Amino acid sequence: MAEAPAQPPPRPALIGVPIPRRRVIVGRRGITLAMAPMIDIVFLLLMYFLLVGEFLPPEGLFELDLPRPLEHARPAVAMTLEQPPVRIEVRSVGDGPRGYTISMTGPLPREIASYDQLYLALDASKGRLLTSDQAFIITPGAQTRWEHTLGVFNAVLRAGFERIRFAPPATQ
Amino acid sequence: MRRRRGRLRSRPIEDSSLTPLVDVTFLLIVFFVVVAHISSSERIPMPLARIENAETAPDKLQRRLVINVVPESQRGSLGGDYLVGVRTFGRSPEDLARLQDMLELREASQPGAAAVIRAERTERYDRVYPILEACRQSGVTDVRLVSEDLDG
Repeated sequence: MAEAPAQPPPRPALIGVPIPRRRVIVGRRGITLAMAPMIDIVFLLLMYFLLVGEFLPPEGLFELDLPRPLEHARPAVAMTLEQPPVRIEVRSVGDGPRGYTISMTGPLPREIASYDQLYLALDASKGRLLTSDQAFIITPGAQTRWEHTLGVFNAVLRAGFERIRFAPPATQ
Repeated sequence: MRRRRGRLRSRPIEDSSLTPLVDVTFLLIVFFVVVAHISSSERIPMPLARIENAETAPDKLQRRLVINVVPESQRGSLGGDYLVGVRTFGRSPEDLARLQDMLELREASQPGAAAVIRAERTERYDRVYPILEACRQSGVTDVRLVSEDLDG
């Protein structure tokens, strides 16, 4: 009868000593976060809102100071004669952005061909024929397109004049 | 045996639930949908005037009231000629008086707030002028006229 192989004797240092629990490394195999469906949905929602959303172009603001209701009643300073306001009439004569006519009253050329020419005429007469606080009244016709009205307004602003008013629509 | 014990121990960590994450995600989505709706109702998409060399400033106003002149193609669906926030007004004297009352209230509660007037580039002047007049009558002196920002 063959003898059983001899078991190795237990190490004397471990006899009677509780075996410490082994630290279990968890994580890599146990946790499975299904991120793919969530990312799918997030991208679907992102695409949806990108397609559905309306992106407005950047907007610029012209500043217009309207007169206060009591401003007309302001007493005039003695011995100062204000220049009468320059009246600028603008009419739309076509459908396009360049289909307009401009005419002016006052010391400046009566007929103006374009916004740029209006700007140049006003800029050249500033300080000579017109003072810097010269008042302007823009008088569009009832059918005048808003872009033509704004074009004239911008030309006066570019020339450095700030006292600009809009008149009621004129009959064309 | 040893592997099974390891699985049992890792179970509490597997419970890191996605529910709060999904909650927050959907809350953010709802927030942006609502905010986008509010901002789009304030400004109607319309082709604005394109002015070269415009003396405009970028739109960075904190306190403002946007007044839209409703384009002709949308007047039927929006039910009015002028849109302020979610309220529409017609061109009748009664409606313009209501608009003026609203502007006066606004000016009283927020003095100095700007009125921002948006109109389509092809809009007729006689449809825009009543807004200017209503602003003047109600004491709103800071008025801004909107154009497309070609430099922006």
